[in-house]
Amino acid sequence: MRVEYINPFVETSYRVLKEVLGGTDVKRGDLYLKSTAMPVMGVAALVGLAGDVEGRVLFDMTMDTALNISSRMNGEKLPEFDDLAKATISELANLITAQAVTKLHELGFKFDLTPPALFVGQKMEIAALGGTSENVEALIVPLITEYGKIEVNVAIRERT
Amino acid sequence: MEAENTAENQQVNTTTEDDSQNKKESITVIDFKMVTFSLSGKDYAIDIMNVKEIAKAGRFTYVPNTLPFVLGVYNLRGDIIPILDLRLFFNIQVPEHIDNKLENLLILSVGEQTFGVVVDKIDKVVGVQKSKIQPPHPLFGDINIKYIYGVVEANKRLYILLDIAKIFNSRVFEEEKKRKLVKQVFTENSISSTVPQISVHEPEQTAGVKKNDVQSAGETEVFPQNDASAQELKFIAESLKTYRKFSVTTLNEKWVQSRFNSWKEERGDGNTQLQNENDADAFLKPFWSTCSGTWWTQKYADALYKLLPDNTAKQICVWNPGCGKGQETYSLACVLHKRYPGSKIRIYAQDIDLLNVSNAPLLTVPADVAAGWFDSFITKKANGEYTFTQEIKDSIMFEYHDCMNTNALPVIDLILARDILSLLDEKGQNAVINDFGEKIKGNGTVIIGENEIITPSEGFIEKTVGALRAYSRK
Repeated sequence: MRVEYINPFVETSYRVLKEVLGGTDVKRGDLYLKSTAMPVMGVAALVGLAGDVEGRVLFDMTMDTALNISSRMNGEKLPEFDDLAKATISELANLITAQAVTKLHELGFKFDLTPPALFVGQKMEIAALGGTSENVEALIVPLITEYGKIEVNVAIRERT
Repeated sequence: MEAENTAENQQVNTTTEDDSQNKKESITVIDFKMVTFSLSGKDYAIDIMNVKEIAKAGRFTYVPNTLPFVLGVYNLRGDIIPILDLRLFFNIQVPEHIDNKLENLLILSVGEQTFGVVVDKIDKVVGVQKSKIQPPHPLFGDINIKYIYGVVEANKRLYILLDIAKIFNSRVFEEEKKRKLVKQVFTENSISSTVPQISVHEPEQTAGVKKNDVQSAGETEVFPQNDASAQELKFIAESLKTYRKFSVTTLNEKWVQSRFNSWKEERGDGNTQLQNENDADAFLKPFWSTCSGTWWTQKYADALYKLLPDNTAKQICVWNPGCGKGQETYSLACVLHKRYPGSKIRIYAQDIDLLNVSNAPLLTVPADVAAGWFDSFITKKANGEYTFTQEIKDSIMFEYHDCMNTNALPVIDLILARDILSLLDEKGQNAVINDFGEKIKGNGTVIIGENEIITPSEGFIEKTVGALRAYSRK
């Protein structure tokens, strides 16, 4: 993945998350690359990217984390993962990706995004396949908060 | 290999018998029909049972997020089928495309699925005797041998019979192969050996058994020396791996062997073991190539300039895995701009060290370096620091990428991977060298570390210009 793309995603996910959680402590884990199929912790919000590049950004967290975060963002305790909670997590994904893309736009890269899609369930796995046979390489940005851990999973490649 | 040889002999025997006994019969017994076509002037064939029909079509609908050889989709009387370009798939030259011109299309059905493939020219249907199909010979260059089912002669022409099932199921095959390699590495834990190419015709199991035999045989042969010395060398190889991730394999064993001898002289007998990182660094010091990981001297740049072949392509693509902080990549970009002034240069520079590669696009040039041969490619920034011209910067794309993972690179004219392969484990080395073979153009050049050697069995031939060594595809 092009190095210019990395920072905007790391920076905005850190900043936005800190902001929506009311300035709590957010720690960033070490970045790494992964190209195998990966298990999804329970809730995954996915935003697709198109334009000069193609790819996707995936926000992966456990159900508990998702509930905690949406409770915090709505300022009320949500007992179950209802429509409001779902909409909240989708919006968080949208916020982060959109701001990262805005930053990239300022650097001269043109991206478009798709509306976020939300997946909820147990024992899910995101296949690492893209195109016909290639395994997509993804950058993983782990973000650790007191509400739980979110993994931002970015896979972008240049159009050839 | 023996099994294959006898099989081949048998085949030869039967054909000569047929020929001598009754030629007529061998012509009349036609139990295999194939559709023949040409790619870049060479004759190819596909089993007619896989061919649904032939057609002429053009203006395929482009589909985003597909591999380069997928041209798009096409509406075949209501069925939407994917269209592939076999020439792109096999890295064969594609004739210039004229707009609105209809392409020759073979509609294939493989299992449940239907595909369209674009070829240069469709010839005719040819009938042959199935037993006369001979296994592929490594002589047929352009197409990766694993996709060839065999070669057959008909009407005095040799046809290369493609294995359609393999082409469209290649992913499954590759994965199986990988899994096998992993297993071997874990169970055998051998220092080194080459993994022989698996012939696609053999049943998987015998191929596996054979590979194991070679592997264990290779283990004892790697360092044919007296026991004590071999043991010491084995320890050194392990220490290099632990301290510096340096894998001793066929790629570099020649150098390690000779370095071991000089190391013994340096250290004296009984003191040859590498105790810590410093020892490992001292041992490896002569390994690194000239100007590795730093700015190239005029001397090295000129030597490389001479090594590069003429190339009139409009765009020259370069792959530079392990670019580190980027000094070598910038140096390379300058040499290429000098060597190919009329072409657009595109360098894909990748590294797994995030910090190094992140800073590479913003690299500044120290004043003493800027004053040297780089001079014409340098500009001065507002704050007085030197940096490369926009033209040089635009030609390089730095990526955070692990070269063991698959990449989305186009076909490549030049690969510069100095001293990087030795730092991968053996499985990774084989995978990356294999990747080199698939990505490099027929006339492309591969440059690896000065003390590294790609064995000829990997499908590369060596050439030497001045003090530098490079590889190109067989």
